[in-house]
Amino acid sequence: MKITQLQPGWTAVAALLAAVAAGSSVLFAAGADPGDVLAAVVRGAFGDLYAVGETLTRATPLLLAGLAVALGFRAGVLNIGAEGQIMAGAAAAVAVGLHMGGVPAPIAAAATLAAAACGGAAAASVAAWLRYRRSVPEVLSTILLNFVLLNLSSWLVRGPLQEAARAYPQSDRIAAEAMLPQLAPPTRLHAGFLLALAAAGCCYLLLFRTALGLRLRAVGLGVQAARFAGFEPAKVAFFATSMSGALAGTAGGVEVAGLTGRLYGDLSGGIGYVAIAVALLGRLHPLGIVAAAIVFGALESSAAEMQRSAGVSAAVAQVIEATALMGLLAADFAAKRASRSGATAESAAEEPA
Amino acid sequence: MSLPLEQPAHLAVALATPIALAAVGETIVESTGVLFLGLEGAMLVGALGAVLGAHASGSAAVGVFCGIAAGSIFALLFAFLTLKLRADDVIAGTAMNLLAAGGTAVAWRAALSRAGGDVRAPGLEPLTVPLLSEIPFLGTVLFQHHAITYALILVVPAAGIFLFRTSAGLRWRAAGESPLAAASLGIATISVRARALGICGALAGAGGACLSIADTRTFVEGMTAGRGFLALALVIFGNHRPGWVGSAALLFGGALAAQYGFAAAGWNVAPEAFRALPYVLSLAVLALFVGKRRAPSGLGQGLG
Repeated sequence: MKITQLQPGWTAVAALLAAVAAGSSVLFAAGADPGDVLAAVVRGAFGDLYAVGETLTRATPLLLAGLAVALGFRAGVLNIGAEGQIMAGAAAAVAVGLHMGGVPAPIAAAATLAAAACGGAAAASVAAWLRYRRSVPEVLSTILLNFVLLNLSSWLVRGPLQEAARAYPQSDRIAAEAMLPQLAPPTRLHAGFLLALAAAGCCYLLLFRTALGLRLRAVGLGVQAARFAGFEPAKVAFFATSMSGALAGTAGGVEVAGLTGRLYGDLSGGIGYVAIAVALLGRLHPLGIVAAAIVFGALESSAAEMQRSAGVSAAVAQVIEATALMGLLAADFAAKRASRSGATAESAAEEPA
Repeated sequence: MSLPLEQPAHLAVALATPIALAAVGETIVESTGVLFLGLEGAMLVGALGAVLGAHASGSAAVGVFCGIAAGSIFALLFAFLTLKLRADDVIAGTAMNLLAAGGTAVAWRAALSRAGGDVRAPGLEPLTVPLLSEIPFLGTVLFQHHAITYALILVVPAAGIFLFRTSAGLRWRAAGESPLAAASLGIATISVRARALGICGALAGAGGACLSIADTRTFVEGMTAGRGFLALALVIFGNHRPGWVGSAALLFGGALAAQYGFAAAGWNVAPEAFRALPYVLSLAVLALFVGKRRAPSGLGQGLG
């Protein structure tokens, strides 16, 4: 089944429920008390203002990176490199953000995020160049670039970008002017979340309300047909790859400017891979991705809570995310089979006896 | 008295072994038209399975078999997703890698807490082949390794002969070129691909076992560190020919061994540069050579 042949949204919901059920039954089997786990999940995800803030804070990079993945997939570009592009964006944001002292706050933050977008786009453009000039499949080049970029950033925080004190492998904090405003202290929620929502809106408009979006989706559905329609698939896909990288880079920039203030080696921590699950569960639709990102943000927030209170490892969240994605594949298959057998029954009924 | 390049060349073979095993497995599976991105996950699962099996049984050999079985079962789950549920290869592969990363971490922590914080496995000892190891240079380079490397030396030509010199291999490659045409000739495409995936998972699992119980003798979360993805690049570089893929892996083993050489020579190069080197090298190699390579035309296209 092609990635761009989408099934209805209910399968995504069913897949998620199935995954959470599977995840909880594993926890019960592992001997955790069901009540404890459930209480920790709810408390960690939506229990109080702090928990809600934490859920949305964790949803922010997932949303931006999920949009990045979806924009690529829609155009048939299999960008698996969000992880590396996030680091490229974060590194670029820090490189610029460090020198923003004295610049008016909105301009400083905008420049920092613009640098992040450019960093991510530059990283993705390498893959685009390899794909459209050297025929290297982007599936592979983006994955390989992840490892290059992760090593590059861990070198940066030991070398050129290391803090002045030289104690830890991390950068100094970027200028206060470049930081995004906090939305609801004492929670960690920052303006990056609103920015991510706005990005989702822009992606929606781009994909479904502009000629460029039509071209992009046409290329994703069929390169040959798009070529006959007069679109240039390579150009469109090049654009989609760079935009995808820019969004992933922004996710890294927002993590720095909204949350950490600095660069360190494992800043992305797998967000780029989880984003693929977010994009697919969100049905590659910007609004669906908003929902999926919040659900996954809740999952990770409650996993952190469970680790504190129920002693359950946070890696369980990753397992649930993977199970949700697999459940989605199964649910899609069931939906497709149901619609096919329904169609056969209808056409049989229409035939004269 | 050893010859100047003897030790580095020996190390290159040792470092190439896990990647080469996975790459040959991927070559077989891609020849039948399946893009198995879950290779990285299969290696990781194999690495964990080997340590747990060896720890529980006290025998490294049992551990290797557990690693092989774990990798194979993992690949068959991928087969279920793509062949039975008709999922896209890339999506299913990505989901499998996520599952492997999270699942091995959860299982490893559970095993650690059960064993009181220390799970050591009996290591796979090197076996010196009598007579052959006496050959100058080649003896040291090729015949003083552990059993998995010797298995690799047999697997590479065996895979080449099977795929390109037997009628069964021709049928498998037909399934990869055009599943529909192959099916019309009575070739059971699904069963061919499932068997290929089982073999590929076993080889990747053996590669993972090699990393864990032959090298570190314990498991580390994410210890495959992208070697499965390097193997994917090698398959393209080696033009889907097991012999070339195996040789390409040796070249990469050499690049990995070089970092120890530089460190020993006292060159002050950032360790990150060396860690990134295989990936930069594979991107460069792909950029230079991929245009002249030809993948099976049904690769990653599902069942047609």
